[in-house]
Parts: sequence; C-alpha cells; structure tokens
Amino acid sequence: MENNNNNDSFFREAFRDFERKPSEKVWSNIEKGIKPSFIQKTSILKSAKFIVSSSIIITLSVILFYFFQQKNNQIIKDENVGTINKNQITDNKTIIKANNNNKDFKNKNISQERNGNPIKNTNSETYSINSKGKPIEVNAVPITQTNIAEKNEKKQSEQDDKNSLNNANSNTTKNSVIADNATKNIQPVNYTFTNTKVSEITFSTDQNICKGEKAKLFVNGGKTFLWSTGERSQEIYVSPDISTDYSVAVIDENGNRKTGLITVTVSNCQAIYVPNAFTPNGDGQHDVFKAIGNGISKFEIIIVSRSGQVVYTSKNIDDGWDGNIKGNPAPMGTYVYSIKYIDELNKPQTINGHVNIIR
Amino acid sequence: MISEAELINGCKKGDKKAQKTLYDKYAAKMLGVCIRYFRNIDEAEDALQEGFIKVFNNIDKFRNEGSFEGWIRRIIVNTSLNYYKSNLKHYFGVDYDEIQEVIEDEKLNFDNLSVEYLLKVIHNLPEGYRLVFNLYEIEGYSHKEIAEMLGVSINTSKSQLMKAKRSLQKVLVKKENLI
Repeated sequence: MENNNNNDSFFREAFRDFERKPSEKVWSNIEKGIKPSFIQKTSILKSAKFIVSSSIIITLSVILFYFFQQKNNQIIKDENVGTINKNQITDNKTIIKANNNNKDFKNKNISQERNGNPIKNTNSETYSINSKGKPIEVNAVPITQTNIAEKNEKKQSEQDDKNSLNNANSNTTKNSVIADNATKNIQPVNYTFTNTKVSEITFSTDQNICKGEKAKLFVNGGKTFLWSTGERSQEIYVSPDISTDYSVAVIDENGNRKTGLITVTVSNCQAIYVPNAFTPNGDGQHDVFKAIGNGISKFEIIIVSRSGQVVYTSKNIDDGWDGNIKGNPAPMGTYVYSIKYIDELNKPQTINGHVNIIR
Repeated sequence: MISEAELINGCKKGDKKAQKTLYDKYAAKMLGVCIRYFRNIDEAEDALQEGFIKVFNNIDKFRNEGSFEGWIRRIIVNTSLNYYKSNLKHYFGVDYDEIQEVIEDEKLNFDNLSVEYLLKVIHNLPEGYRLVFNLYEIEGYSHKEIAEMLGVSINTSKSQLMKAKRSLQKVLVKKENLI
C-alpha cells in the first residue's frame, strides 16, 4: 500500500495538523444536545427491560414456529397420502408420454435402444419410490426429480443436436408438472438443465425525467439483481437530482451474468415560470410582467393586445413589461404573449398564454 | 494539567467542565476534518456539532482500548458521511464492478502548496470523488472499509479514487484557473 500511494502520505501529512476554529455557537448547541448523565445511568435498567422483552419475543416466536411446523406437516402428510401419490403416478405417465412423443418424432434419427433405455430407467426409478408406499417426505420430491434431471442430462449428452431440442420440450413438460404437483408447501428446487434456452435479460431504457420526479428502472428476466444503489430488487425507483448512470448486475437462473447501464437524464422541466396577471399601479408589487427562467439560453417574448397590436417585445428575460404602450398605460384586460426559448437540453420551446392587467 | 484519561472519566460522569475542556482540545482539529467534507463552513460546523453530541452521549462506550482521538475522529467522519447518506447513491452512479484494471499510481506533485490551497482543490472535486479521496488518502481507510461505509463496491471506491486523482492532476495543470 505504501508503494501504491506515494502521494497519500503527502496529503495525510499536509492535513495532519490542519485546524479550523469553530464558532462559539457550536459549543452552546452541543451543550444543549448532551443528555444529562442520569439518563445514561438508566441504561442498565433499559438493558434489563430489553432482555425481558426480547426473551418474551423469542419464546413467542418459538411457539409460533412449532405451531406452524406441525400444521404444515399435517397438510403435507394429508396431501401425500391422499393425492400426491396419485399425482406422482400420473406424472410419470406424462413424462413417459413426453418421452414417447420424443421417440415417435425422432425415430428416424435415433436408434430406439438409446432412447428407450433411459425411459425405462426413469420409469422404474420413480415407481420404485412410489410403490414402497411410504409417505413422500418433503425432501423426497426434489431428490427424485433431480435424479431424473441428472439422468436426462446424461441422456442428452449422448443424443445429437436435433434430439436435444425435443428433449428440452420434455424437460419443460416435467418442469411444469413439478410445479403443478408441488403443493403450496413444497417449493420445487431449481434445476439446471443443460440445454434449456438461456433466458434473455433486458433492461429498461434510458429515461428522461424532470427534477423531483421518480424514474422506474427494471430488469426483464434474471434471478438476482444488484443495483449500483445497493438495492437488490428487480425494479427500483430513483429520483436523482442530477443526471445519473445506474448500473445493475444480473444473474439469471443458469448463473449467467449480465450488466446493464441505464442513464437517467434529469432536466429542470419547470425552466420557465410566467405569471398570469400583474398590477402595474406603482405599489412595488407585481408592477412588471416578466417570465422567470432557469437554465435557459436565448429568450424572446412578444405580447400582443386583443386587437392584435404588438405592445411589447424583448429578447432579455430579465426585462419585463411595465404595462405601458408607448408610454401610456395599457387598458385593463387580457393580453396574449408568446415566449420562445432554448431550454437546458438545448431544445427550442414555445409557450403561448395570456396575462391580465389588473389596475 | 489534567490527563486525558481523567478528562474522559469526567465526561463519563457528565462533568460539564471536563466536557468543555475536551471539546476545546479537539474541536478545531475535528472541524479541520469536517471542512474537508463540506464546501460550506456552516455545514461543516453542523456536522462537528452533531458529532460531538454523539461523542459525549456515547463516551461511556469508549473502552480506553485505542486512541481517543481516533475514536472521536471516526465518529466525526461517520457523522459527516451521514450528511451525504440520503444522496449518497447518486454520487456513485456507475458500478465499476466490471473494471478490473490495475489502477496506476498517478504521481501528483503538490509540494509547495498551502493547506488552504489543497483544501480548495479538494472542495473542487465532485462529491463522490471527494468522499473517497478524503477517506482513503487522508483518513487512511482501506477500499474495503470505504466500500462498507459508503455502501458501494470496492471497485467503485477504487475507480472513484483514480478519477479523483486524475481530476486533481488536471487542477494542478490549470492551477491558475482554480481560484
């Protein structure tokens, strides 16, 4: 580290004894902020309270946890005995069907023996578990499926490209079966199928927002997300004050990484404010009509009376109309203005509106 | 002359005089720390004030295990950073996780420049650069610590520092334009 930074010691050295005397008010504010010491002493009392309350919470949560577990087990057992076994059998049929279809379609390309063997295996394997008649434990379902998955992988590696496409189909069938089959309490494990299509990850497009607005940034696809903001959700809302690049690292279910960059451009949308009335009576308040602008270049205003007479023009935003036409007070009423300017983003803008003179 | 240990004990008991003495001893130095984080002296004093309130209210947690100045300093730095917290993420727009390049040692020659001038140079850095530069170069935190403190990746910390240094180099070239 010392080699790495020749100049860091220089800066550290330079600021080592750097001091700046704070103003008097700082200490008086600090004095107000210091808690009286007796409060600090009561911290023992507080900690005692904390222990009691936390132990209550822990006991409660343990009880609740047990209660839920038991209930869950009950449900699983019930459903296992009642439906899952049957489902499991029908599943196998579905699987066989899928594989059979596979066979039918691809008969011409692949020898039946190759395709046939794995099917038999899968078949007997799954049946053997079911035929034992044991209630299927929570873990049992995923394990069986993984076995199938592994087998399939082996099988797939043996098969040629054309077939693998079809196999993917059968995989998806199984996958959905598993999903249907899984009771609410059993979550299917994520399988990695070698030849499933790589899921596409796309990112929301760059955005232009006005200052103070929120922009929604999101990722399509993927499983885990890490945004440059530190958030880990699929979509985030941001509201930067200045234009900002946000990046997100995404990992999909197959472990593929992808990084996206989304730029949020912030502009000062309310670049210009135009009042809708003014009172040129010389009282010092609202005597002049003028636009108030922010971050604009090039400005042009033209004010026209109702009869179409041009009463005021200017190219300077800081100038305003005093309500006079050629030195004479303009009559009360409505006047139309048109303002042209170039905004922050170098876009030409036009505002048309009307303003009332109130005397 | 009261020793520091006595001072600290006095503060732990809530002795007003001890508190004031301790404050007088460290305030100027700590404001010197704060001022590097803020362009504005008022903001720096706010951070100092809040930091010292934390120091006094938590002084019973100081176990005399390390340097007391270091302890105060850490609180002050953290308090200063807290001022940025709500906006912190905006200062580090891009996550440079992808960048794995070795950051070259960029030698800067700031000799013969006054501290006040250096402070100005630091103030001229964009927020994100300034935080990392302060924490790494002057406070001496590691990139890992900085990443944790600011909630950014280590690589972000590294790249911000690199950019800060480049920025400083440019400033040095156009020295006359700065003030």
